[in-house]
Amino acid sequence: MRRCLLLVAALALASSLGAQVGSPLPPVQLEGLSQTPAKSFDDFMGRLVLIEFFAYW
Amino acid sequence: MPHLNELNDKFSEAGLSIIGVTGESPSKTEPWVKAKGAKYAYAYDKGKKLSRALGVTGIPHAFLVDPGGTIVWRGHPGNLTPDIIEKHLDGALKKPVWEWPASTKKLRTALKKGAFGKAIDEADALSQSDDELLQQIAGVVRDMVRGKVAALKSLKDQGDYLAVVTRGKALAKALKGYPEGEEAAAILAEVKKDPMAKKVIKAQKALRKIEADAQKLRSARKLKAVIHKVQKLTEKLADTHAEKQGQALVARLEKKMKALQRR
Repeated sequence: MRRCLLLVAALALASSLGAQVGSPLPPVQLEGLSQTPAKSFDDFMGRLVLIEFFAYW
Repeated sequence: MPHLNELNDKFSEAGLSIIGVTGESPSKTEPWVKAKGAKYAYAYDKGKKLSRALGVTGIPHAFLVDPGGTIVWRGHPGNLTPDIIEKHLDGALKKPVWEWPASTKKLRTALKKGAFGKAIDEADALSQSDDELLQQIAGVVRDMVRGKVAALKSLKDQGDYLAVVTRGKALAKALKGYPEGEEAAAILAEVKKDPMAKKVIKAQKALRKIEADAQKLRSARKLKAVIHKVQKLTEKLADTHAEKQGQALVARLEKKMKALQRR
């Protein structure tokens, strides 16, 4: 039970540190931008941007 | 992936750009992207820094960011419906920077150099034109600069003083002589004279170093000592951003420690 509560507390904490809806996006540094003429994230200025975190697995 | 390809086809000309981001290696990622046939941009988040800053705990996970740089939606990409995108397309540039007309060359150069004051001047000059796209570009540039100052203020309100100092200095310099620059300098000055902020910054820097040093540790016993060190460092900083960062670091270190103990 205690362990479970700790886990809940840790998760709540992690989300409090994460970026919430309504907050500004932190600075973004990306490497190896592909399939786009953009050289850096700043080149998407003024666009509605969808950032999708993915993994090959 | 097919879902995002569809959204990309449907909305890219209306102002949407999709960027897939991965913390994995290019050697494993590239063949996978090719095989899946993703048509949109993708890039690498080295060291998973961005993923961590955004609090991503599971994959896939997506963020929709409006043209002013504000997060307007986050969640599983499968739950992102076209109407959510339509709702936020207002004011988005129909053409990305690389498709802007030649007359924006000076503006683009100023932006690339981070010379935001000069960029505002160039944007003001462009807004005199009758061309709708140029006027829209000018508006976006002004909003972007204002957004940077607003983001600085938001960081101060959240108590992330280390980020305020790091970003504030560069911003105040790039906007020297402009009202936005004065605003950035005022936010920075306020943080610098706050004795509590000074303590928080010192702790934030120490936490950063502790985490970097702990990366190479492979012993549960040593990690336990590091956790103790973090707790000691932040115990007098209750209700500060340093405390939150310390607790999040402890949670990450404990996870690593438990994984080592299971072996």
